[in-house]
Amino acid sequence: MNSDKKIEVARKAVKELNINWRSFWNGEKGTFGPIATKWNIASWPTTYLIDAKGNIRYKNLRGEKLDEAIEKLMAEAGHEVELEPEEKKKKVEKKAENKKRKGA
Amino acid sequence: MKRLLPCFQALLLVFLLMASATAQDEASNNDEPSDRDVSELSVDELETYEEFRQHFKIEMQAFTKRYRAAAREDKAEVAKTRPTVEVYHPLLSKLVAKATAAEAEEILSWWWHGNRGRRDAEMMSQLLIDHHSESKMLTKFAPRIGWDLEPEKAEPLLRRVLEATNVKSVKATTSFSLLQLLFKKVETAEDKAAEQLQAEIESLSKSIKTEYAEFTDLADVPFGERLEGIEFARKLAIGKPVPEIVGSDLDGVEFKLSDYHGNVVMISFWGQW
Repeated sequence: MNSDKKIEVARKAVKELNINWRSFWNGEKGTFGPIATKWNIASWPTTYLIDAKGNIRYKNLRGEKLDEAIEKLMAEAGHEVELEPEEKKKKVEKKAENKKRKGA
Repeated sequence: MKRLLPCFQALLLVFLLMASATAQDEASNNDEPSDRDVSELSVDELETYEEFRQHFKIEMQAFTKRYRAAAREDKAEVAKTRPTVEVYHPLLSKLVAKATAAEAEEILSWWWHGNRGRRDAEMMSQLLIDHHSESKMLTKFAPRIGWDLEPEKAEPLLRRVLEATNVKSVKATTSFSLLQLLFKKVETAEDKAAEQLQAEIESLSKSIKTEYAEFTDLADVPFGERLEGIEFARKLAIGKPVPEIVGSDLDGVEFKLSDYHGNVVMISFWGQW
């Protein structure tokens, strides 16, 4: 759901930032457009996670927690996925390293 | 004839105002011996609202004088002697109980809108409903009962108003206040209780939409519109089915959220600004 007042700004962002999801456009009123108003959106970004059955499951998750939640919902729908496995691997390695240091 | 009618109504209004003014004068002649010097009276000897207001004012002026005159290190101690409405509670209660609706409204408006309003809200609500539950003034006081009292105390009082009143505007504000309480209550209720509450919520919502949609309390937005907002927000709770979204994408092609049913979907409200 894009809330830019000018649709050109949104189009440019999609190109430059390689945004690969499809967006509704909230209209010329921007953040006061019809959909964000109806959904009573008070802060940007606001995110909702919807499961495969069409139920709202999570709201406003960020970063790792968001990844975990998506993985969980995908697993429920029968798809085992791991988001950004490279980055996760690095994090696990870093944690292990930190532990070692503390131990020493 | 149609043009004459408002004129006639205005005349009638003037006449009625004069009549009520006369009635009030008579009442005050009986009630308020104007030769009594209020400053000489103790709190127990006060008899009318007018006397109370004068007495309170004199006490307050005396306090201000004391406070100003006090040395800096004594001010905190003097501040403790600031007059409070508490000592007048018995008098105010007696007055609200025996007053006409119009007089009670004046007293309660002063009392409720003053600093002590919230603290005394329960006492005032009880007085109001014990003695004036059929009065039109509940139009403006019912929302305050909902705001200022603990929900479990406000609920039975609002129900009593709904039973007692025949005034449409009172029914409107009381129904909406009660509905707001029930929306909160149902969030933590379980099974059977939740079912019962939900049934009541639906019946109250229906009457708001069909009979009281145009009414409002202190807020500008009428009840009908506010209820729609509340209902939509309830649909956005965790575990609830997501409402449909229909719109156009950035290329102007129409699509809808349900096109993606069966997939895990993340909805993000984003922008570049």
